[in-house]
Amino acid sequence: MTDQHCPPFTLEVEAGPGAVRLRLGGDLDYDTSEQLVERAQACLAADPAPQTLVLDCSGLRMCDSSGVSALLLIHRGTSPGGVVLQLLNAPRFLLRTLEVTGIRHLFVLDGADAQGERAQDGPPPVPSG
Amino acid sequence: MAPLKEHIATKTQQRSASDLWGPAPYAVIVVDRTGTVRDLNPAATSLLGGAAPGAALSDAAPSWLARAHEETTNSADRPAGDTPVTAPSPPVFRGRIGARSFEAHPAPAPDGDGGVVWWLVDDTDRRLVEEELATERERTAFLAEASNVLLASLNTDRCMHVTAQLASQYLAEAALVIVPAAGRKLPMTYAVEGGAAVRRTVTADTALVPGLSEALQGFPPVPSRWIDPASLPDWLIPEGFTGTVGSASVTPLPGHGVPAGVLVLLRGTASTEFSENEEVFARLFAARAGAALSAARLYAEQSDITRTLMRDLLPPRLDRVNGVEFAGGYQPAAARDRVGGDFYDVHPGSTPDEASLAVLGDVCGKGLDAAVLTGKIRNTLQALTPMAGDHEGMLRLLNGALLNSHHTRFATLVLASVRREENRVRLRLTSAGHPAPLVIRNDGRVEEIDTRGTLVGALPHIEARTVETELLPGETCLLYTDGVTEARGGPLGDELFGEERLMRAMAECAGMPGAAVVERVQMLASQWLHDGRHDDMALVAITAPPTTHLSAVNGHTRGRYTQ
Repeated sequence: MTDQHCPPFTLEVEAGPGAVRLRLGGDLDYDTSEQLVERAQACLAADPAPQTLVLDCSGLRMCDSSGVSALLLIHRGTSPGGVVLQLLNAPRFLLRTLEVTGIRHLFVLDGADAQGERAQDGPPPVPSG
Repeated sequence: MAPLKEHIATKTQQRSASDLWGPAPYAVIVVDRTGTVRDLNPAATSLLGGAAPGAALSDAAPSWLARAHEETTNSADRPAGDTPVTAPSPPVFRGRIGARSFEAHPAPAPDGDGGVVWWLVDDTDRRLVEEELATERERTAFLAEASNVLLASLNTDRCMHVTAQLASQYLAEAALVIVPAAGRKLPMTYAVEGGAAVRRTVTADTALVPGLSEALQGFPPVPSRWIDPASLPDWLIPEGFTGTVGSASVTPLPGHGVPAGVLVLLRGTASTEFSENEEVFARLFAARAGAALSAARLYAEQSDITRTLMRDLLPPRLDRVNGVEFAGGYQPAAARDRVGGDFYDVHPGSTPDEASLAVLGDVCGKGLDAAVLTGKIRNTLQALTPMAGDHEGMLRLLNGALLNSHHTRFATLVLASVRREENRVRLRLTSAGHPAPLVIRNDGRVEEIDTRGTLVGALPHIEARTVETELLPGETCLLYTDGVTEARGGPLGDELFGEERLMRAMAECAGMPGAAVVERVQMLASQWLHDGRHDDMALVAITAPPTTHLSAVNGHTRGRYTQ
């Protein structure tokens, strides 16, 4: 059961040398994903720009299609500048979503769950052409 | 009688009323117990038109005062034992003298012989103020009621009906609500004396009614005394209005920046004409009616637009196409959005040998944005149907058409090319970032079809893998959106329905017709929901119809299958 008293979505920013870490908590959905995108874009626009943007997903409870769209939009912001976009501690459901939608390769995944998933799933799918 | 009063009475006994009460600010009449006027002060003399002492009260004063005197003297005659210990406050009598109204207060006369001194207090002004207050209260109550009734509905017809009905009940004998014409015809609603409102359209020249065309354009109203009732055209006189029109008023119904219509009030010759005060009140009512009416009209326009846009976006009814059973089911997230982010379509092959293309997809986001993107995807895919032999190529073209630099609104979908071959159905399935299709085999196994690909509409390059399979008679392939597997609920209220549960449910559906599979899954997912809230859910079942082989009669040909 989820704790009913939790706020629906939380976002904390930790800026370190060359890297910014956004700690996500709660539900990333239609109502909250815009907030994440705005914050991430603000971090990327900072001077000097970070080399790595880390999204710590350990507190994430849910991520719907709007959340996936937000991740794609953040990726669109990081890829031209060569910024590494890392998803840390991605929960199993998020990995599953990234897998099904075929966008897992866009992110650097790290954390216990991700390692486990990767070992189970084997190499990423190769299109038959 | 109180000793103190007796004492005063003795002292003043010998003086006449005019001396005693002359300077009093009220008219005073002293009447003895037989009803004869004994004395008057000058104020009373002028009020009663020169009545003199010695006249009978019934002759000198209006009858209500004479009756009041009789009543007062009779009650004073009652035995002392009947009188309560605490004397009740003396009664007050009211009546008119000439054009004004008075309160008459009796007091015992100083002669001690049962006579009465009548003090006449002019209460005309107070009474008028009280009447005005009562009218004001009634109007406030009426306006409050009008607002309640008017705001209860966003239906234009209903607003017009209520406006006409209320106005004919409180403001005039007949009321007409006329709204700006859409073409040459003028829609109007009328009511007579609070009766049921009637709707009518007339072809009429508004210029014939003074102030009407101006009011329809929102100009301030023309005072009703400028409107000649005799000049009103016949179409303005409602059926059921008897007699001739004595006065009319034309009041604009102000809307949100635009005039919402006009309220025409009619009174018969027997009623009083509209006073300025009443016209102001009619405008207050019109302001409320106009606000309600224009809100209703804006809402009607908006829902018309939405309906037009949505008509094409509703999921189609699916049926048998070229020997293959298709069944679809769609439950939008909110009942009010009849369309949402999920969609499905079946584009039949032009000949029975050509594959039909079934599509099921899910667009990111919700509401109108999602619905519009859904429409775009469905149209694009329909145009690309001739390319259905190459699913990946089709998806690439679709992806290119959807890419947008402003957002990453994407869609995931499954393409299924479906062709009947004898009694089997050949399927080519491709997922573009969508949950894999499931196939229920006749032995109860549920297979996940291993097709994978990238979602469309967000990334410049996509990949997809097409997988082929075959359905035997009675077997079903189910395409679904994640609204089904992500239905949150169950015994603890926060568990996802999930793929495993879906597969178990489907295993129980082996051999069932496609429509039954769809209904069964929809039912289970809905039951699973904890609080009734869910994402859009869409399902398409593709079923090879169960057949019986008819063996060839001559043994040389292959024979045929029923259905």
